[in-house]
Amino acid sequence: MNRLDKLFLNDRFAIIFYLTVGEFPREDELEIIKTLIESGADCLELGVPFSDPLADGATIQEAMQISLQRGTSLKDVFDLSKEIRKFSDIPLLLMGYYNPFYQFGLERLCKVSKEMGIDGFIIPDLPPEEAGELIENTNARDLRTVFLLAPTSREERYEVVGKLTSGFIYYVSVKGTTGERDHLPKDIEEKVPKIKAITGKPVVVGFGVSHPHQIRWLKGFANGAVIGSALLRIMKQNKENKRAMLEAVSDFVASLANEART
Amino acid sequence: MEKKGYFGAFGGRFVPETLIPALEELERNYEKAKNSPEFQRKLEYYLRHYAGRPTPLYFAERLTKKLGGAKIYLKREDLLHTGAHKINNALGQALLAMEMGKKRIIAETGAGQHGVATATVCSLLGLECVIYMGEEDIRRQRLNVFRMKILGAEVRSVSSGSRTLKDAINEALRDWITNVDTSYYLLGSVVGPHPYPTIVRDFQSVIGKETRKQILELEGRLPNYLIACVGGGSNAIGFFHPFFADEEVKFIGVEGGGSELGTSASLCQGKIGVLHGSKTYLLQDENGQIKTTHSIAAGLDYPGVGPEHAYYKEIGRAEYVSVNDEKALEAFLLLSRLEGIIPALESSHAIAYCLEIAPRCSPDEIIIVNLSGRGDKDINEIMEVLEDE
Repeated sequence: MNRLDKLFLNDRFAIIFYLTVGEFPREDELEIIKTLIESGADCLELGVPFSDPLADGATIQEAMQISLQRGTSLKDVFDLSKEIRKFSDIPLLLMGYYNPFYQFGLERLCKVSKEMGIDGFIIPDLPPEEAGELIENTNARDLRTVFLLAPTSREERYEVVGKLTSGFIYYVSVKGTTGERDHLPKDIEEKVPKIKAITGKPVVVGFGVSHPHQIRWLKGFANGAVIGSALLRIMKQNKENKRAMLEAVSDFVASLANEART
Repeated sequence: MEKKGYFGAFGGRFVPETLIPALEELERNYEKAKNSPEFQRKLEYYLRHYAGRPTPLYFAERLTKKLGGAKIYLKREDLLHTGAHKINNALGQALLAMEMGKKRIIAETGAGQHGVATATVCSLLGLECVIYMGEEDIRRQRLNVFRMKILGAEVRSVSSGSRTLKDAINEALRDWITNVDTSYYLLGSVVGPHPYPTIVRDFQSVIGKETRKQILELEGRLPNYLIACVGGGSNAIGFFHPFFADEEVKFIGVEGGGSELGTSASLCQGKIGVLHGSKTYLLQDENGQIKTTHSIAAGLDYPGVGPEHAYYKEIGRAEYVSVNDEKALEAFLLLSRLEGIIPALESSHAIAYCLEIAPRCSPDEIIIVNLSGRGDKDINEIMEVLEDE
């Protein structure tokens, strides 16, 4: 059984939230995650911090730096996952750069991930051509891979990436690093349906998604959206007051979930 | 059959999807340029009439006498326009960018030599130029920052991470991801995703090709040792590669051993991992986080190394050693006083290792050191260090 299998059932538009593990103390982190789930998150990406996050914009870079200063390692990420599994069955993905996973050992990574309740991986600097060893190990343990496609990807690549993706396809909405944007490129509307048709896989849109109006638009043709930097900004703005932070997070998630469900 | 883009088990293309098509385009265009007599003619023209090639192979007679062992030659890349071997690659890649119709060039720089070389060729060819440089390196290499500005480049200070070369590369890659349609990333060393390690190696191979011809003319035989410093490793690979099949020629790469503040000797002390698009030796902690490095030479201050060097190490074709800050500084002063050549701090590491092994060699052995750059850029840094002492 893999929890990702239920994510898109009955044409559900999935709203997926990213957070960097270790940006906040563990106790606060768990409360944030409970709030995300209660307010309507369908899936969580647990961000593994890395010293050199070259696909990320300033917001996530900063979160990773704070997390690393706190000494966060993969072990802490697994501990968090184990805690979450005590109260929730929400699909969990590990999102992070390749080197920390590679040092941990890919076989061991998949074994421990399965035990700790992780469902799959998103590794932005690991294109499918380089992912042979990871794919062998995820397949062996019923874990899922999520590969990315970008606005620059040529159509010939859709098929290659689609074949190797066992979870869903993550469509990077913009040329650029992670971070909020007021306007997403109009051509997503044509690209996403084309990717769905060619690969036969669900397609989720990420990078720059932060507003309910974007969810309303994406719902028309995509299977879900990933929200990262916007959530991190809201948490940061309220970091002095935990109650206010949880309220702000709850309101934000609910506003997006509302669009996704209507 | 070797996997495409790999040197043995090293190299590859570990980058975000957004860049994959750009790297494929670069690879196609590079193959075309490589096989185009017209492109090669243009490059040769600029290397000869603008950069000052061929560079001399100089017999360091006083140094040889003092050490009393092997005959020592210096390949004088320090005499090139802009003061280091970096111009070989900058010219080649800028001409390639022109072929590809890209008008905006981005580059990273550590010591500033690659930044200056890139700013120079951009001025020469009328291209827009943005250079990323770590805050710490900007402090150490003020003179080069000013040179780049005079040449019309925009220098962007990078304050993330360790504020040195690796962070400048992160930032340059972020820029490239964002402006991939209009911009050409002119990477300065044999690092990064395929095809960069091959492109930069090919453009730097002019060093080894000339050296091979010159030593055969001067001595009628091949050398016993080639010694070069290794940060990312572009001067070393360009020097070594044309001798690859000459098994009797030993390659020695010298890394920055640093001081009690840290090291940048990735091949000597690192572990295999993935950074900046390729699988290679890295200085990292047990969790796979990249370590902060240190070397007195800003150009060696990098936690990774070119994947082809990792391969040479693995198959035993080259030996990699490290020399600390103090020994490099001694070599810097010695060469200045003995031969009237002020070497770059990076190249001083190679000289320092030569000082160590030459006395143990017999007088009929030949050592060639690649003097990859001149030390003018380091004068401020040296003044500070010597005043402290």
